[in-house]
Amino acid sequence: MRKSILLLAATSMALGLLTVSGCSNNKKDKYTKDGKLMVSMRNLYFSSYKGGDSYIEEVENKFKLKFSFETYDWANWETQVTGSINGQNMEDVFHANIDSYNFATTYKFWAEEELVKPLPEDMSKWPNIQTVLENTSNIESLKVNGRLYGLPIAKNTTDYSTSFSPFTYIYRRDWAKKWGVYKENDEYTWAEFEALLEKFKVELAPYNKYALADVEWGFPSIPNFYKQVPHCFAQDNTGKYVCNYTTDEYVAGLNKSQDFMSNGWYHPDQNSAADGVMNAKYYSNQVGVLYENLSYSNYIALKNNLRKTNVDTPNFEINDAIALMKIKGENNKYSLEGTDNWFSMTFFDYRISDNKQEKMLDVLDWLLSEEGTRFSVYGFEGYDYDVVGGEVVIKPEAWPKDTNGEYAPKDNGASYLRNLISLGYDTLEMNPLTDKDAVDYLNAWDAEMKTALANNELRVLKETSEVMWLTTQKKSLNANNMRETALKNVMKYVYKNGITTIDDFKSKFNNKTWQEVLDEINAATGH
Amino acid sequence: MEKVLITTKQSFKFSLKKKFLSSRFLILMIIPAIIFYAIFNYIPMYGVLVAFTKYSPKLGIMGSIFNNWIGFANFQVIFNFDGFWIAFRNTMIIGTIKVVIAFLSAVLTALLINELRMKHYKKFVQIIVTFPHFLSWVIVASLFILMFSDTGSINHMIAQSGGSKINLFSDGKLFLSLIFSTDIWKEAGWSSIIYIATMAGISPDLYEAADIDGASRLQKIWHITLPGIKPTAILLLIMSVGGVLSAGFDQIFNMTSSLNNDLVIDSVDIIDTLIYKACVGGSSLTQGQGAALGLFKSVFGFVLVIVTDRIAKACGERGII
Amino acid sequence: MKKAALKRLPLITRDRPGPSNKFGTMDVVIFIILTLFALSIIFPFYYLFVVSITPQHIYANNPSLLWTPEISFEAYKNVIEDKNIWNGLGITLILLFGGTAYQMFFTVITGYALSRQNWLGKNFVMNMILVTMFFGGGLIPYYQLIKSLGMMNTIWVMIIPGAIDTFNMLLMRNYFASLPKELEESARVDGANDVQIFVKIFLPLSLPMLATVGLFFAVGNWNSWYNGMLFNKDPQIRTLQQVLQQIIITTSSSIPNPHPEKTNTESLKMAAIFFTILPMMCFYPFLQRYFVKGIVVGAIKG
Repeated sequence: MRKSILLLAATSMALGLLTVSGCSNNKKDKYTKDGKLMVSMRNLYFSSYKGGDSYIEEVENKFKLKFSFETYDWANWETQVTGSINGQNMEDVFHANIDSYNFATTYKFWAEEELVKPLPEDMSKWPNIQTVLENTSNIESLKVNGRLYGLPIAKNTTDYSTSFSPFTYIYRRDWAKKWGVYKENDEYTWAEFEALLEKFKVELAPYNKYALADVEWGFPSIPNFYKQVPHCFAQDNTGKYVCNYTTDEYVAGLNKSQDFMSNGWYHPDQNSAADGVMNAKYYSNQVGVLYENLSYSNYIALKNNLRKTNVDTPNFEINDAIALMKIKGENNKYSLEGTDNWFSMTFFDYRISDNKQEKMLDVLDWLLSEEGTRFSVYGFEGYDYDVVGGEVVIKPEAWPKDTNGEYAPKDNGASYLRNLISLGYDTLEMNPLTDKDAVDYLNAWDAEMKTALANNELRVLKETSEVMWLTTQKKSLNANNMRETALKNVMKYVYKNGITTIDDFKSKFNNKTWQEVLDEINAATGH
Repeated sequence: MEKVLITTKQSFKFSLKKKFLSSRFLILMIIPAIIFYAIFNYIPMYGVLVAFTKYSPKLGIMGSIFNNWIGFANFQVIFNFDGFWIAFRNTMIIGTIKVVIAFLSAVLTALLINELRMKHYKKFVQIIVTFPHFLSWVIVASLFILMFSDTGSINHMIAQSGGSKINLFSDGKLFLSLIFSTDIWKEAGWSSIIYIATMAGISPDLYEAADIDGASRLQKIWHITLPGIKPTAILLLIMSVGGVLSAGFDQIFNMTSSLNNDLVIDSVDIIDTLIYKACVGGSSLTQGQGAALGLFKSVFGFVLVIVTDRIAKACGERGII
Repeated sequence: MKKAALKRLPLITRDRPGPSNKFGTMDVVIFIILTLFALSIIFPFYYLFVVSITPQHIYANNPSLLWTPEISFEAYKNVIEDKNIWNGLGITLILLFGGTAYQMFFTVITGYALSRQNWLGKNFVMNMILVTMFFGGGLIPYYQLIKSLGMMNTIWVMIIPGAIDTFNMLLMRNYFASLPKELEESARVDGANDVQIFVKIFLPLSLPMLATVGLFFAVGNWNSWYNGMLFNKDPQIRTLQQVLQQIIITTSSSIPNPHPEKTNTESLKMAAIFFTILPMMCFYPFLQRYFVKGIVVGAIKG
């Protein structure tokens, strides 16, 4: 047995050596018969889009390109990206989720290994893209050896000022009114909020329904009104980095969360719910208040589903069922998590030619221009829309309406293509498919928050970029695990499950790993 | 002396040729298998060496082996990694308990079905209890979460009838018991098949003799049925030791909502979940460290099987290798 | 009890209605326990079915019902009208028939060859196979192998690498080995050649085991999704399980989606799950009796 195993091992090594084919380090440009350069693309947002409509053909003819569209699964995005990187099977243009926790093993690693093609050093040929990049927050932290290795996908290319997430409480105004706890203009103090939750609880408890739920990955939401920074690393008075979870502010918020849980206000399934479950509880009338990231698409999904579940509710007023709550923390300030104004990134395979990358940048630059934007939203002038007195007028024959009198969506490849550089929130107001009420409502809230920020009534929680994107050895290895463990302990404390006293909670952070990483960070940032 | 040697050589050659000719059909049949295993199992096997490198996708595996060889550094990192020893301990605990529970539940189910007197009902029960084996954990987990979460149907009924809810998904220990019981739910019926058939093979004479002696039913089970399945049981138990280190990744992954249930994950984080996290990215472990974890698991599992086999042989039972 | 005594006894006892034929307390206990066990298995499926026929607005207000006051097959209509489901079903059926036949062929001949005694190099091949049960190269080299074989983004990647399943092959081998050696010898005396012995004598005798292994492969193919997910990106060659996953997990609110998509109701998800397990529920009872014998011999005589 032993002998044959050794023999087998040796054979396998030999076989392996024999069969290793040298990976070719460039992809030759390939052309279709009619001379168009072929570009393969894979992006999460392509969904079921496969190309072939006249809009994408127009773009293809204009730039002498031929696109192929592939998509990722929502559930397996990271697996599929990692697989294609490790197997050197990337598409020419691909899409990956980059955040400060996977930064070291994804972007930083890919850039250092040159697995992705850097953008040209001089971007002045593409002024629109350049504008986007100039306005991208934290862009300097993304540079490796002075080069940028991918395109951050901007949330909104016309308005960069929003530096906070649209994370907030959304609640059933109709219930609040019915049960007499409604406050004018949706403005609640902390005490009023608690009173509302108590009332909701009393009314809802018999039906197995609950007052409050947080989106699964945002639980618990209450410390957000107390803590200084979103995640692990806060600063003390001297600027030295310390563990955020043991700061007095965080602990105050944590104790409040625990009260909320033991008062029976929170939905008790926060821990076992899969992504999207709490969202579904809200639109199924099972939760009175939901803490959620209210981007347009999330908001509209909630709204549409709420409408569906309440088809037979008499006098159902949808806007009353989905109201944004304005709530100030103990210090009488609003509080929101600060975010970058981009989300994921578009990358180019390092093996593609400069020519191909430049042509792709041409396309994206054009799509960001006024002409391109219009094309991606409306389509052809004269066919899909006319311009009358500087205003766009949609032609009814080109835009069919469904039975409810709403414009039916139609595939416009250019709009998918534009997602390579923009999430498209900048075109929402133009788009005839958009629910205008929803956009106006979200914009009004956004404007109010901006005013609050100007008046120093809004706290934006943000990790400093020097620590957020820092990729020192110990931090890179442990940060993700540290955050996960911390959230576990937070959950346990809030549920009074395994960790009951605050000292016990704090002691979980008093260990070698935290100490080493904090020391490393303080040394690297010079504190 | 020389003459003898030559003849042996000749006869050896001769017998070799004869042996080959006589088994040419079988050798022909095995050729596809050899090709298959060589391609799909042996060619990729050089990939274990990734565990000793700082893996670079651009260089490929061989390139990384020649240029980025870092010896045991990846192992050092994972052995010093916070989550590793917790995962290792959990794997051993969950794996061992599962083996024992799976064994006991299968034997018990087999006994009950064997003792059931109604022939048609017996068949019906057997069909029902073996069915869940064929469902994927994605489906089973979503069913159980739907029913047993705090607001699920079962707890709702309990609450309505005035009882206090059971939070299976928020307590580490209860959750572990849920992991074990869903394992029983899914596999007990299936694993019992072998024992039922072994019981059917026990000579009826033994039972009849016992009847004459006035043995009670329990006595018959204790003195005839159980000894009758003992050799089978021991053999299967040894075989299942190899599975201890794979404490059921699919089950744990799905039952914890893709590893997101923070209240219980500490008690069910196993080596395979660490490997998963390293492989899908979004984790702080590199590919090389992930490969090191995988290699550690293979070697340790192999040693475990060999040791059990030796112990079984020392105790006079039949080994498997 | 002595053996001699045993041999004498049966003659008397077989005619006598023993005490064991009475339906006693213990039988009731056994009946109850097994019935409870069976119910615990049936209930989740029942609940699943009830949710799938409950309209969204009723389920929303009472998610824990045991029966629905209003039956709606809307969810099933949506599932049936979904082109992706039928496309996935088509791919899965190809895997189910084509893949299973292919896997059976290679697994059975390998099992047979390894069950015959003493041919040249048998032990070596056997060890070669056993080693692969413990050691594998991991995902990265496997991915590169699939790529260099040109199987990326094809349906082959879900079939070809599964040619031989070691566990099933060993079951098959053990079953063949358990058949009496005299069969082969007497057939040889009668002038049968190797092929005839295999096809005309061993295969017909191994029906229970063939059914067992066939069922294992078939279920494996029915549940297959991982290789498809990792290696294929063309939605046209998604398996049924992949489509099911798409229905259950459409979007996650942690990733902003510029194209608001319709979210699936609980009843649609459950209807989709029910749709995928229904065929198994239908065929399983008929196959079940075949494999009991097979699994026993295959696993024990190992």
